[in-house]
Amino acid sequence: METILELRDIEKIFSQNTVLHGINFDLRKGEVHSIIGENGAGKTVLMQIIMGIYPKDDGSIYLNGSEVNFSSPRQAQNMGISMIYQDIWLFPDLSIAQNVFIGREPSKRSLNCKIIDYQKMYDETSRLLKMFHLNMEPNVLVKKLGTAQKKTVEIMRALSRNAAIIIMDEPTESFSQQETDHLFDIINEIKKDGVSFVFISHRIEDVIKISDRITIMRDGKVIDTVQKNEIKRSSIIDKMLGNDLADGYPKLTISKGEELLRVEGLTSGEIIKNIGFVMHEGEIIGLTGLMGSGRTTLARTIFGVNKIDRGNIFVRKKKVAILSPRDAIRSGICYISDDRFGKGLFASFDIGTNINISNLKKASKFWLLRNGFIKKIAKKYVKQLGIRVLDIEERTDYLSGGNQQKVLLAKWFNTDACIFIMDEPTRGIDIVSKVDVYNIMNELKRKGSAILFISSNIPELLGICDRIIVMYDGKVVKKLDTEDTSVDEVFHYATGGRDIERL
Amino acid sequence: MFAIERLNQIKQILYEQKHIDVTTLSELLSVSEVTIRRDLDKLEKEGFLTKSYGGAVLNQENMADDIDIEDIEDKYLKDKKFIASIACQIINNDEAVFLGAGSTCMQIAKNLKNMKRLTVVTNDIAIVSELMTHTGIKVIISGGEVFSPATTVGGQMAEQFIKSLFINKAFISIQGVDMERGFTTYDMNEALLYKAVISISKETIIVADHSKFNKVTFSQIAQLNEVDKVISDKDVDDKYKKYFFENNIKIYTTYQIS
Repeated sequence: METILELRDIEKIFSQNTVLHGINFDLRKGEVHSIIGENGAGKTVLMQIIMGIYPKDDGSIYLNGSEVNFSSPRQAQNMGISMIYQDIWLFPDLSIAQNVFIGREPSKRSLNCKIIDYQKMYDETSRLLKMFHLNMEPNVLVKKLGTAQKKTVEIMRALSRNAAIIIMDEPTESFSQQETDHLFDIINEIKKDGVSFVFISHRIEDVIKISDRITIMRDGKVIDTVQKNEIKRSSIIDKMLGNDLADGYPKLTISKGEELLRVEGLTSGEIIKNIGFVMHEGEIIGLTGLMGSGRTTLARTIFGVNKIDRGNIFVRKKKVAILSPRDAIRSGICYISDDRFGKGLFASFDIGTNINISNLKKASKFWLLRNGFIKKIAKKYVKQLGIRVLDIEERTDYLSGGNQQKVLLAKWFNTDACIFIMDEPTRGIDIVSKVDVYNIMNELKRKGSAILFISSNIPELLGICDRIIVMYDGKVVKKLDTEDTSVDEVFHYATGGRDIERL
Repeated sequence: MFAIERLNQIKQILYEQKHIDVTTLSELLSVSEVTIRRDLDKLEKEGFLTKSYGGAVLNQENMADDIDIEDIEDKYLKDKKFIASIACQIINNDEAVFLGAGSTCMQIAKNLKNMKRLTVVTNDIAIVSELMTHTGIKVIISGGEVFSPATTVGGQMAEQFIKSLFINKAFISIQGVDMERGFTTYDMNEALLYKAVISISKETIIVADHSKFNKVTFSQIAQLNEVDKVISDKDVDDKYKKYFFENNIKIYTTYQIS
């Protein structure tokens, strides 16, 4: 098979962070080459570079032997590369045919004007629909289709653009087994015509099923590229996670106290279903699952951002009605977002403002802010948490990631919260700050708080938490004791593996 | 400089440091170790100091006031109390632990009141006194020669005794932590005893406030990567936090959040 796409030594740096190191990757005609890796491995950035969404900082890309350098997705599309993103990019109020041909509607001449040739669109779309075994008319509005069908329309659109290479980012994310099988049948059909696929996923079973070759990425590097038959499931996991038996995590085991938070039958939208778990004083409970498993939605539902459709929340054994974040905060619950500046801190404000904003009542007197008090509180937390700052009036976005995280924590320590939901608290911060954050969590534990620690880093969760809850597809699939499990086992459940009989 | 000036210098250093080793003195004063030893002999005869292995300790009467070892290190007492409380969280009933000498370990001892079926082995006489009255604790002293003015026992006999035991967790307090030289202490006797303890302990836990870091003292107890856990306060130098985490040594730092 000939090579149609080749990437050599691709480098990409985002604000001083190297996200891609010397990536080498090639794609052959008519093959399905999957890229598998954890969140943050760099898979999506790599694809965005191929599509011309981001420029590369070093390296070269060769298409059919000639070097290319796309500066926009349209250029890539014109050269036969199409990308199907994780989210559906279709116009719901337009028909299938209109979506397939969007932006390149066929035209014909009529009375000296150029008008859209709807018949041609219709016929062409009909042909594609038959090919994909979709029993519907081309003028059906997209909003009437199910998710799997919408994805199929996107593939049809790509094919209709004469794509020689189709990149698919997490295509089977919300698919049932049946829908996945159907999609794979289609891919296998189209392969025969020489169309190549880059299949990005973290669903190991799917990847093993559909791929001819598998490339494993981790921390912005290509770890290995293997033929489908050359590798077994556990080796893929090992390579994805680097199986670092890292155990520098300072776990502190203390006896747990009273029940603090109980969640029963919690359901919200289509995203989380029937969630139930308990947290006691002095516990750090890990929550993990793949992107899309519902972890952040669960957190936001408990915090009152998302609407609760069914289920109950009890704080200290008393039922509480949480209809808004204010209710949650009043019940002692706080949510420390993974999006530091999106939902946590005000970038241009100084530390004092950011910390006191959660408790303005304390920081004000007769509608006036007590500046002296605000400064005092800021200084207190700077000292207690070891926040490194030259000038306390400094803008918060000038601090390093680790220090920003500490300011965000300080903001919530300044309230009467005892139930902390921390979403990826150590993501993107340096090692020293990580060690500090773990020890700060331990201190909260000793003071009788409970922490729900959401993270994609399984070794980290096993290293710090007492128990771990694994979610998959919006449900809790397993609860494990961290002393009694392994990275492999947690990963097995996070990727939808079935319940194992334990000896 | 003349001998008399040197003797005065040594006295001055001892007033400040309370104990000092021969090697450091010889470096500081730019004379040979032999010369230093002769100086120390002289001062010992005067009753100013007492020689210990490799160095000397200021005699109790010569200290500014009659103060406890504990009060001298008062500056860090709060940190020590917190370090001790974390250490206690690590200790479980039905275990055999070793407590080294010093005020940090004394703070640990003070928090063990309610433990049950706990065996504590120690080389510190003050700790023995503290724990003697707790009914749930069996106290074992490591034995050997008594070293004054510090309240410890040790020597070769003690090392032999230690080697016949098994310890679940050893808590050792040190005077210096350094990237190259590891964990060190002034007293060579203590160092040898601790080495023996480490060899028979399942888990070695170093307890030390941040002021001990980036210091090298006379006698090495262990290399940086030969221990299992370190408990200190949050102001520890960043490079140690990084080193320990990357080398699978759990570093616990205290935070006092209010």
